Amino acid sequence: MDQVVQKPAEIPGYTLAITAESLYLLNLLAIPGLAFLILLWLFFKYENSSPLLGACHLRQTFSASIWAGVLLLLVNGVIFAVGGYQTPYTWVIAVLYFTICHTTLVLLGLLGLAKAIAGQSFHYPLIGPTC
Amino acid sequence: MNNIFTNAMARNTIYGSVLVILLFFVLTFGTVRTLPERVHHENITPQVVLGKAVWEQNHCVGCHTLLGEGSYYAPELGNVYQRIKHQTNETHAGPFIKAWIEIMPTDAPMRRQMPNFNLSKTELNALLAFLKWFSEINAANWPPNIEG
Amino acid sequence: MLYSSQAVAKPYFIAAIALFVGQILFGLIIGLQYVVGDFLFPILPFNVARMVHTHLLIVWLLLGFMGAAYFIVPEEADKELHSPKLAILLFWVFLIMVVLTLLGYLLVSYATLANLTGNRFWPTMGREYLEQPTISKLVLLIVAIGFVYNIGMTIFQGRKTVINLVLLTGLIGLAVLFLFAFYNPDNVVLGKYYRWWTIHLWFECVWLLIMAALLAFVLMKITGVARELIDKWLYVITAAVLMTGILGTGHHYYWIGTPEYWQWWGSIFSAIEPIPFFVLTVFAFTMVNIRCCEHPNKAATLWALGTAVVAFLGAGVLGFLQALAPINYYTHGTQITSAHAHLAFFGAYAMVVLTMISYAMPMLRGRAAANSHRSQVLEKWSFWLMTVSMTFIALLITTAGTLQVYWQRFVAEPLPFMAVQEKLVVFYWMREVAGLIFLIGLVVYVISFFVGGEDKGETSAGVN
Repeated sequence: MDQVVQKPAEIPGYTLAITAESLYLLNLLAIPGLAFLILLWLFFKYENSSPLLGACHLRQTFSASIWAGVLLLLVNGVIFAVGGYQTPYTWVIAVLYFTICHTTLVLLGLLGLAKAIAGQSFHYPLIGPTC
Repeated sequence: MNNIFTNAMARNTIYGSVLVILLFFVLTFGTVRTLPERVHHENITPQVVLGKAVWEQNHCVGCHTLLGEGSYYAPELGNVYQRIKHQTNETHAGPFIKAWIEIMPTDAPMRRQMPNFNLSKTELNALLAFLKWFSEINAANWPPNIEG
Repeated sequence: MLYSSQAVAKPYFIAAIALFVGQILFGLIIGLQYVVGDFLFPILPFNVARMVHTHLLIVWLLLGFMGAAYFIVPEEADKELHSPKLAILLFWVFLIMVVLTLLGYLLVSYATLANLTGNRFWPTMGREYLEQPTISKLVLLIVAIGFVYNIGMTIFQGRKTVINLVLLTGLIGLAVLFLFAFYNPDNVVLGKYYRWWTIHLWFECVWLLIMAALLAFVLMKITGVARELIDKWLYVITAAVLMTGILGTGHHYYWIGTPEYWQWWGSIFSAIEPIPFFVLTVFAFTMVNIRCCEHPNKAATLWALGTAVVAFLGAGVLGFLQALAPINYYTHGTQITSAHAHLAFFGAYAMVVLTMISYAMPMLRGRAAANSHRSQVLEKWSFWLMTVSMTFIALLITTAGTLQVYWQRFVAEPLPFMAVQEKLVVFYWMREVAGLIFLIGLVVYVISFFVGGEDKGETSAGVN
């Protein structure tokens, strides 16, 4: 059982990686805005000065959070601006779009968190930078 | 992280559920105490009880809903009494609903069909008494409108 | 397979799959009756076909849980099952009850069945999910008690692992909460209130404990991660399930005549009900990420990850979508509820039973650790066909439900129920097509059992 080379928790930047992924999820689920501000602060403070694992998760979640804001707020705003509140199909498209988009973003966050807990790096497809 | 959050601590989080269970019992106690008033318990006559048996033994809930619970194949019946009164402008919905149940099925092609349950006059009247009693329950202003 | 008595799981799994096929066939019938209203009428009215659909759902999952417990518990307790004979006897008692109940549904009218089984002496029939005649319910209760006794004695005399104890807690809860199915007072609202103590507390509380235990067992076996770590996650999941699921019952008490304070308690606890599904998903992926070894049963790994994700989608996301009181005011009792039920049942329960079958069946059939590559490829195909089509079913009826809410509940001049249903026909047709694809997936799944080829051997996994 002990053939694991290194325990995940001993990899440098482990705590920062988990914190970044948690903030990304909190921003989507519990405290939108506030969690992003904390992530923003962490990003500018540690992006260049932290170990590889932490910096990678930080860059990924920062970029993905910005994309999440655009995809969820802006696009939904556009849907209602174009469709108006009075037609049922606006609601159908908005509900479906928001549910699918938000859920996908949360699922990516869960995968990212699972990678962070395992001490591995994770790349958000399309919405994350390479690192 | 393994050392900060030990297995014993993880196990102890389960005890938090005791509080939740206690709260659940308190809320249940409150519910059971206020229900007689909300459902007008004094109006549950033997006829209403028979109507409930007719409702259950013909599996009405297999197609309809009663305050939103059941199947979504056919209309809500919790407020059917008011809905029929509203649609027919009559003071009593009874005769209309009875006639409706008795002429089923419509056999209209492609349309959803309700079986004929061969209910006796007593059973039909009891079912109506049940629906009428049910329509007077205080259900926090649900459904949102007469259509259910 | 470490103990010969684990073999009693096999008939349970086979019967579960057979009844699963039946459930899907009846699902397709009622799906068609949504658009072709007089299909099979009056031979098979909608209510009967739907009742068969939900009855089969519950009993095949129960068979799956029982089979899974008979497989897991001896291995975890480190001893043979207390009484394999009792397990086989209860299997036949249960199966005969299921088949007789089905015949009762299909051959005579429901009122006749109620009359024949003496429902007037102890009326419990005619309520959603609890349609079984009182005598069938009694047989189910006896089987559940005998089963819990058998499992409990094995654990009592053997090793008490966390997986075993969480599983046992869930199973005892299952048996005890079923007692509320026998309570049917004259006050319908009170009856509705306690009906949820069986239905909700099964599906969103004790069954979830069972599900978590099964998933933890399979993950431990296929990833080879240390038991201590698995235990820690399982503790957290158990706590999360109990602390959110019990008061989450409140979201059924908004509009059925119960006090208004439930709108607050139900909303607050429903808002946190997705948490256990979150933890489950992160748990499953983390364990696979830190696996020590490569288990040859890739299909089981896929099911294990899949059940966590789809449970999160169906129970977590689609559940939350309508669990808050102000939203539920409009969505209560519409197709949106149905969408949630479909994806949640499939993701959390059907898929976890299939995970367990996928892991255990090769060994029960005398193979070393996993089926042949060809068989696994088919099984993975069936996974994707069923999962994707069920997701589409959920999305299509969410769409239908959103429109239903709009026309029937939201606009100033609402349309009657049937007028709205006619506008939704196109979505019901698409749902039926998705259902057919699901059936194809299920057929592929069944075929995968009959594909030969060379077994995959044992690896160093399974040290625990």
